[in-house]
Amino acid sequence: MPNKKTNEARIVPTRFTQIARQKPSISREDAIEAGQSAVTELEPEYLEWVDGLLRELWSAVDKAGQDDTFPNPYGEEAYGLSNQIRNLGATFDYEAVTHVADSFCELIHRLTEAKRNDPHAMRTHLNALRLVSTPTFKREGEGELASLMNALGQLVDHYPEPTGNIG
Amino acid sequence: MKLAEQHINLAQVNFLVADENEGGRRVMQSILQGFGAVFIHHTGSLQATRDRLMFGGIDVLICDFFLGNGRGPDFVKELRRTSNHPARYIPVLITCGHLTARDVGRCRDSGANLVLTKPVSVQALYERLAAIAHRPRPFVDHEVYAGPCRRFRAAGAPNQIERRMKNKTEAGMETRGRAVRVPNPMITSTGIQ
Repeated sequence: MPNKKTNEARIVPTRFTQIARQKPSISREDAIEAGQSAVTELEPEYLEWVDGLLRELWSAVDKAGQDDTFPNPYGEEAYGLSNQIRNLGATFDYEAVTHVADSFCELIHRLTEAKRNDPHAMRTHLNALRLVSTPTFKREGEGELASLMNALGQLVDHYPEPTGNIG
Repeated sequence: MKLAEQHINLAQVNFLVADENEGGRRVMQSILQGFGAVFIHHTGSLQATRDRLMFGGIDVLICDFFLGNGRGPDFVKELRRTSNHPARYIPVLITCGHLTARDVGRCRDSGANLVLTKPVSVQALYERLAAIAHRPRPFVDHEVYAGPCRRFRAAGAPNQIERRMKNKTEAGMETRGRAVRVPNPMITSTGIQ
């Protein structure tokens, strides 16, 4: 039921604010350390997730490239998958994955706004993603990242930045 | 950060993590468990989230922007505007990835307490939960907006994300001939974080 329109501001006590302040509590340092440790334990699963997402992304990009019209459903799927890959990377210290996937998202966003298709630019991003998502690149590839991002950026900048886009 | 905010107790808090991505749910669940949370529920669709919240007993909602094909903020807005909803006033965190300016505006106007940009940082999540626990804001019930008061910049927002983003820019590599694009700067500058 839609809320009856009122015009007020008041402090509403919630159960969370009451119990989260209770003692015994966990200190900030301990909580962050334990949280970080929990993330580290997930890394093997992370690699499996990314591998699966990359397979799906490969298929979506392939199909999106075959369709002259853009945006198309496969392009939207590719955007969603790329966003998922982007959102996990840096949490597991795969910063390069987040940067490349973010560039991929931006490319698809700009292609969508420009109503243009560019299979070459999408495949290049996909190949870059496959490269940076390996543990080997995480260990040894940091020096290559700047030039890689520069090259991908040129592909993205080929299309105008939509007005007001800050994402 | 104030001394009191150095501690939170999440052992009795019921969290609902709403994210269509299994990896996103698992990451959030693991971090919350590290923080001492025990009761962590999760849903993978908009409808399941709606049903679970209506059932009651949830203290905090962590809702992904892309839930229901990008309708996460709309869902939060609906929650805040439904007067008899059992979860109307619970703290809500929206998590988001790549966004456009319009999307940022939707987050800001949804009625969420705070926004957390992905990839999630353990530290940033802690700061947000601590801020909600120790610095509750008035709930505004207005015809154009329902949710926590958005004017809290002067009081000092949990600034870890600002610091983190600054570090990222300073430490980040030069790409495309300029610093790494920092996602969603408006989120920080408008104070909704």
